[in-house]
Amino acid sequence: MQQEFNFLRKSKAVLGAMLLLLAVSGISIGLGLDYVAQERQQIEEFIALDAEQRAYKRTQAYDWGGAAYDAFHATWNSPSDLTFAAIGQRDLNPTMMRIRALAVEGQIYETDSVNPELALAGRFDFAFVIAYLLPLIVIFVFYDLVASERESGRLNLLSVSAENSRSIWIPRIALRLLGILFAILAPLWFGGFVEGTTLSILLSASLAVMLQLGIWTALVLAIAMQLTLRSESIASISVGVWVVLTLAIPIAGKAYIENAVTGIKGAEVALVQREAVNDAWDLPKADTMEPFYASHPQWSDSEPMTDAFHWKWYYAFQQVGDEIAADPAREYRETMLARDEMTAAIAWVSPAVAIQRQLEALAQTNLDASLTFEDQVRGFHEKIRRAYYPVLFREVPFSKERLAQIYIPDFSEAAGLGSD
Amino acid sequence: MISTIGLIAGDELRYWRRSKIAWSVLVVLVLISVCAALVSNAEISQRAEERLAQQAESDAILQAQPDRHPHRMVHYGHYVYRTASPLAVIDSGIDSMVGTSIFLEGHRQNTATFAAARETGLLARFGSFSPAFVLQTLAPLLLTICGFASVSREKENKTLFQLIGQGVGTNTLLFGKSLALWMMALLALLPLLVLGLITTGSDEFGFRQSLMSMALGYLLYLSVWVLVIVSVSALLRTSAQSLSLLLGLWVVSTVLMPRVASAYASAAVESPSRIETNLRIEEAMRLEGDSHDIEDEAFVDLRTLTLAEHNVATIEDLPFNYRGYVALRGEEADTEVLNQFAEERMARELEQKRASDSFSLLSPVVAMRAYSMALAGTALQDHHHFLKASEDYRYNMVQTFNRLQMEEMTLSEDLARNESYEAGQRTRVDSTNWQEMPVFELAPLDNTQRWQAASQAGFTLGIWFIAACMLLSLSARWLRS
Repeated sequence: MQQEFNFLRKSKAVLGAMLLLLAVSGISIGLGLDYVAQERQQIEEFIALDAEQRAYKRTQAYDWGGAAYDAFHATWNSPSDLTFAAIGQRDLNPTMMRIRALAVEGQIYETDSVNPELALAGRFDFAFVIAYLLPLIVIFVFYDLVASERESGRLNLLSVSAENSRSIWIPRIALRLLGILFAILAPLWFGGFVEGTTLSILLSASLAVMLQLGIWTALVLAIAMQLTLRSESIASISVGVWVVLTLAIPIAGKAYIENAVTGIKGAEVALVQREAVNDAWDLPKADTMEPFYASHPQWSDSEPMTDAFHWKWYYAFQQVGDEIAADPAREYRETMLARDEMTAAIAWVSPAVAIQRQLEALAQTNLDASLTFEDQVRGFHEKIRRAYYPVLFREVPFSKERLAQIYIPDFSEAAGLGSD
Repeated sequence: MISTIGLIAGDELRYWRRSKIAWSVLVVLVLISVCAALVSNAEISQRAEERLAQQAESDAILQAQPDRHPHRMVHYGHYVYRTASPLAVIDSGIDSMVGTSIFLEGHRQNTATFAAARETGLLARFGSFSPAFVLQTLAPLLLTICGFASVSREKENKTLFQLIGQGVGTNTLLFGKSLALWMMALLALLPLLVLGLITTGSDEFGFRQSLMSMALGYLLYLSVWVLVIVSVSALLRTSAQSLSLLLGLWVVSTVLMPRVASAYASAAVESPSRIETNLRIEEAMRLEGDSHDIEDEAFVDLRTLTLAEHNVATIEDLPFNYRGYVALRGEEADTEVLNQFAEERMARELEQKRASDSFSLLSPVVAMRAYSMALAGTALQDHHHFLKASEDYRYNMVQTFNRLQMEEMTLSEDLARNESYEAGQRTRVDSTNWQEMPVFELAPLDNTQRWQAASQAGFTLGIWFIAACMLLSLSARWLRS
């Protein structure tokens, strides 16, 4: 072992590759921590600004409908304790939303403004380092393990001097693996320490990373042990395998998925709900109130309305609009889930997709997490809506005192997030 | 000397024909380029059709609206869709990252929503299978695998000294080797040109010129790789060393650098979240007053001025509906605030792009990406162009409705509109007005504007080419000694 250690110290290229990996994964963790800190700060400022704005609007209110119309409520999706390692889909999915008592379908698809050119390049996060760069480092470290000895004529000497051929390679491979492992796990655990990541999550992430390392080491060694190949051929073939598994399969898979699962487009859902809400203005009020009272019998004894505008009718057609758009909205969601399921199938043939998925799942930055947030927002919206229904449908006279009594919980409380 | 260059290139090509790896690389390269052209063409034309259909549907819905109070139409709004440029088949650029549709309504500027990347999920981040991806990322790798041993092989076989002994200049030798590799690069470029020529067939915005500049850029870019590959092969002692170095260069410049550039840019130029901006907009608009309420304090001056201008005592005496007038002036003021924020955001995004593009001096891929997207009409500036065009359309649409409110009813009719059904009917405007609204048509930036956006990156590519030429002549000199 001592001898192997000295050997490794002498092969500068391998050491250089490991140092490069350490630097790159360190930078990726640093950027990730910075991103998470920035996001937390934005959320904090958002909550404060939102409360301020809502308080001001309340002072301006003079009727129930208007008060509800102007009262936005903050909702947010705080980064998890592993988000720093896999930012995943967070940039394209909304992390903060302001919700009010109007139709939820008209509000829930707003996204944050990202700079599209920066998003296109892809994130430089830890998951990227593991999915793309780690295999290349593995190739670099192992491709000429056998061939270089053969090409320098030492192979026969080595196999004669060792009792069996296995005992020469195992320590050499193990030592290199340990070096690589340190280069990727040390920054990850440092990040975990800073963020106070749950131990089990950090362990799972480390395990996934080790699995990725194991798969690639096995692949590269299987090629490198082919005695007939020159080291250049081994390198070319290994990189070829990397291109296929990391670039070609995911890209081809993307093209396939987009064609195979067409489903409804988000823009169409938006159109349906918009039409439903707007058509109501031109329809007799009964066309709105009948389906509304059918689904909300507790308000069906509310005072009948004249032809004139009435807020309770306004909020009823918002509700009915949501009900009309519910099916397309569900279909839209199912389309995304179906695509995600196919992506899971592709992960079986592309380690890059697999590790990305695994880390995003642990970091809660995947589709499931964004849909969970969407559900929480929908649940919260329902609470907001219902808070105003009693005063609207019982036609309680408006007063600022009564308005102050309308209790709408904080989003974190409503969604059961606990305080953070 | 020219004939010697030709001989050496021919010799290299013959060597490839014998070697299995070079053959398979060639086949893969051609196959991938053709596939990419076909897949990308199918994908982009499908997207274009979808959006055209959605736009037509949305236009039809707007035109089919019944007689209405004009302010209802202001809130009813309209959806417009972004059309893709014909060269998106070659480089789809940011197309999948930005929203495809935008909802236009009064008092607000909405963001473009429903980006394709969100609907596709995780795989969208792995890139698109387009000719641009093949040429920017895969072609250099395949050229590397073909060319890494072009000179070092001669060294290892000791044939190099023979060649030099026979009086072949090292410059000639390296040019010959580059020429052979360069032909392969040309082959990879061919599908792009053919596809581009087809899609720019009926062309009124100078896309064909852009295509030519683009092809030239790719030629320059691939030449840089060819020259670097041959130089490295000449400079390093063994083929194994030159392969390691070239693969390292490829990873750093094509895989790592674009992401580093993007991460650097978003850290260097911080941007507030959309929601924070919206809150700030709301705060700013609060000062402009609520244009639904003619009694709002913000409009006291406007009232005095208007009354004085028309020499009347009360707003009822004005020759138009004062409520519509307030809506008109209110929208004007709101839009000014909104545009100010929108311009701020666009300027910040461009600044981020500049920060990211500054890495093009470290990696030719960063330069190539920027150059290619800009000419394809799928870059940040094209998205901004769409946002500006849709904003102009929104403003004109809303003000048309506000003017109808001003002119087609009296103030007392307007104020009484919620009192009864009949009163409501009196304030409804004929639906022919919606049918007369011009439809939204997005004219892309023209060739000159695209070229302006691309020129900086094109210039950097030129610098890379000159540097690569210098590297080649240096390695020729080094080889001689």
